[in-house]
Amino acid sequence: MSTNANSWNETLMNDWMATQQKYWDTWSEFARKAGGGSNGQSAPNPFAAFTGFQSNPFASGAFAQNPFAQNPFAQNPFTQNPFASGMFTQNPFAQAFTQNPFASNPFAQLNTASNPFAGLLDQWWSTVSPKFDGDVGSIAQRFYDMGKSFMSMSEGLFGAAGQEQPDAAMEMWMSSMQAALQQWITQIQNNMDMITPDLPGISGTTLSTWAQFADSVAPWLNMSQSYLKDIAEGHLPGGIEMPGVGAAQEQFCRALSVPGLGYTREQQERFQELARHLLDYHDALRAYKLAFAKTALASLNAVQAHLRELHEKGEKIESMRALYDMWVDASETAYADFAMSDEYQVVYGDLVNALMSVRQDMNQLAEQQYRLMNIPTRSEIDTMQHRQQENRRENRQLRHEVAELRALVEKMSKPQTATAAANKPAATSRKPAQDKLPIDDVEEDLTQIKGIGPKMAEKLYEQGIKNFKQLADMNAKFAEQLDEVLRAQGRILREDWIGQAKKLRG
Amino acid sequence: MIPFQMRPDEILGEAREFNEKLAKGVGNLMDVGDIPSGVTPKEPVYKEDKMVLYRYKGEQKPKNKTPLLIVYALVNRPYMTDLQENRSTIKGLLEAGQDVYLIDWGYPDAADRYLTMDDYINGYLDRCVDVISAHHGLDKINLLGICQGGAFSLCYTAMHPEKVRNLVTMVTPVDFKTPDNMLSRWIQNIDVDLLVDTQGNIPGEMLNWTFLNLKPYQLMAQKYLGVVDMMDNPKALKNFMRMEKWIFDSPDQAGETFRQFAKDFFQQNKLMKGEVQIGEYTVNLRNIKCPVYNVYADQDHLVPPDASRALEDCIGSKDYSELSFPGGHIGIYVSGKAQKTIPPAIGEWLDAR
Repeated sequence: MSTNANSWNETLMNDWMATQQKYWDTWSEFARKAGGGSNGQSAPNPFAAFTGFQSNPFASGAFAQNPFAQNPFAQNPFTQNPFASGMFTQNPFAQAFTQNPFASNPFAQLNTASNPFAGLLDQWWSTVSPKFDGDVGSIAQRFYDMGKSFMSMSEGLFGAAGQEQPDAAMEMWMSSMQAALQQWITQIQNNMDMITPDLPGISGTTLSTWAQFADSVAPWLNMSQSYLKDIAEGHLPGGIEMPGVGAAQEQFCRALSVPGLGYTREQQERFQELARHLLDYHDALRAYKLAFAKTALASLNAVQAHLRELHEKGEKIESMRALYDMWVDASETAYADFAMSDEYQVVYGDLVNALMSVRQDMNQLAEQQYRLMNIPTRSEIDTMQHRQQENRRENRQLRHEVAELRALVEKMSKPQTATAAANKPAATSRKPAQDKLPIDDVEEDLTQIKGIGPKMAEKLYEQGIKNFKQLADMNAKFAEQLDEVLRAQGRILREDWIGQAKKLRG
Repeated sequence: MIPFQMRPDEILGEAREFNEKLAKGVGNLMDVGDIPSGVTPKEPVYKEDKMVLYRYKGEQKPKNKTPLLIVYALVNRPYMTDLQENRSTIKGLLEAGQDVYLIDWGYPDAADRYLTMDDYINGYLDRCVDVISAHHGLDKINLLGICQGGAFSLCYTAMHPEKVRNLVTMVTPVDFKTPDNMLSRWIQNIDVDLLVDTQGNIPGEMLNWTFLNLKPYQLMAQKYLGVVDMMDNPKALKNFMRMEKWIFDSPDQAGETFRQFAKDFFQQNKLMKGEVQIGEYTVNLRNIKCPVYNVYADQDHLVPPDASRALEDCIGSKDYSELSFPGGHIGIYVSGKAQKTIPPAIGEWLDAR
């Protein structure tokens, strides 16, 4: 090993980067051709970004490229939204909501490592990713995310390995991560956290996927930060200053409880409600992050404990991959303990509930605006859909009943097999009360029977009952079933059609 | 002391090797082409709204005269049972001589948010059973329920025992509150009414986020690292992609059905207690008197084995047996090992009844 570890390290690193850059360039060129050249600009020279890179791979700012250039958070989903411009101009809160909503987005810098290893990957990815679409694109994205995390760890190892005493350097590397986590925890506790530390494995992924999800559910969350800050500092919307409000949450909440007045009262109340819920969400997210940060610290401790154990057994870690796998296992175990805890149940539920409360406020505000514009609202559509589904259900039920009755009628109109209880599917009934209704095509005037009018006579004809003999031969059970089919409401027996028919038959 | 033995040049070497594999692999990804959703030939036999009932075509005529209806979950898509040629539970069942039907629930949209469990079970499912019964001239058919579809099948059989000859449940939760059920623990503090009232349908991404977070380090990172090693093999890569496509192919959940399933099943564990109310029925599992075959995975992180095994004490059937598979919730359908054991065992069990 070289006596001057640092310079040796740097040379090696630069050589490696040159090779890698060449490799990615070739690759990108290939992809450009394959992809039809729609995004055919060659990648910018990455070395420009590394001029400040000396021996410390951790030097912040060494890597100026923003890997989140294509980050979904960077796009404001409200730019094409009527609320973004016109609708809020008459709103006392317009000022706060139209300020750059992303200025202090806490997620914007999640996972943004100042990491040259991963940085190369970023550049490559930004050239390549537009080539992908659909299924493949989202899957390739996952590989890229994982690759970045792996490279980030490799860099840490590289920094350690370049030293005279690699294991001591690695110990230092780990300690620095521990310190970063500890600092993060303190920051969260003090409501000052902005950046999630980048750790091997995927410490940020759970949080960043949550952020993506939250963003898709409630884009206003991103705006809320500056809004909250303004109010917390005593700047109320509409240029009103509230002296002495300060950042204290208690007072902040009191400010949000000031009753609204005047024409815009209702709207103002809704905005206050939204602001309260945004604050709740902010708190819930903080509690979740804090619990998460503590778990990350626990998993780091578990990694160290495992390394010590290996050392005692005399085993060695001989590849980055082995270290990575070990890291993941330890992290997963620590996470599982956390995820099964009562604490997690609370922080997770609170987080989801708080997000939903914000979203609900948004829905209501949107409804209000839509109503003003005479546009149908979600709740109106919901009401219609609800009624429609009830109608569909009832319609199905009725069709089902009609089909059963039809089957029954069909059986009855085939005299040998006329049977079946009206309230059961014909196919499943057994032991019919009366198998046969005598076949007889002789037609007689059934209206001679008291209680049978022309309409009822027609219905009876449709059932194949055309003369007095047929009626007279019916037993009581069959008569009851027929009564149901005809919807005669018990009249067959009550008016004694059978008795009358017996007298009238020839 | 840290047992770390790598030199800088070794680390750079490994990083280079990794990058090259990744780059080659991503190149191969571009060439993967379309990923089919299911491989075994099938024909639609009944359609209603977004639901389609399929009948699968085996290479030989089915031996078992009683058809088998597979009731899949509303979560994710049913082609998991028919992922690829040598990884298809459906193909296995066909080879075991069964006449296989499957319900594909489709992708609910906002207009479907008021679909209830009553609509799904006493509506769609019941009519599918009627269609199949009528076609075969039978009063009863065999049911096979998967995961949530298993819970649906249990409810159905309890409500319509006269229409089910044999019931197979696979990785089906019955006791939703076993201590090792992470998913259930998470949902206990969720305000389900607020969630459904606000969101309408529950977005598939939200469920996905939840499922991935059960094992985030493995499922969101390590898994891909492992695949980088085999990305130079186009066939293996394509198989990986099939699975990957399936995992992220998550339909939204109809709001009202989610509401009842989350509250009654997960939060209040009413299925076990016989307190679930569906339409005009109270679901009492004791009404299930037909033969029941309960298949579960002993390393299932979504439906822990105990959650499935609770079934035995809840039903009124005297003919109850279990099959434990050494693997996970998904492996039970797609692993090579499962392929050889599960479908033949189910076929044999059905043929004997």
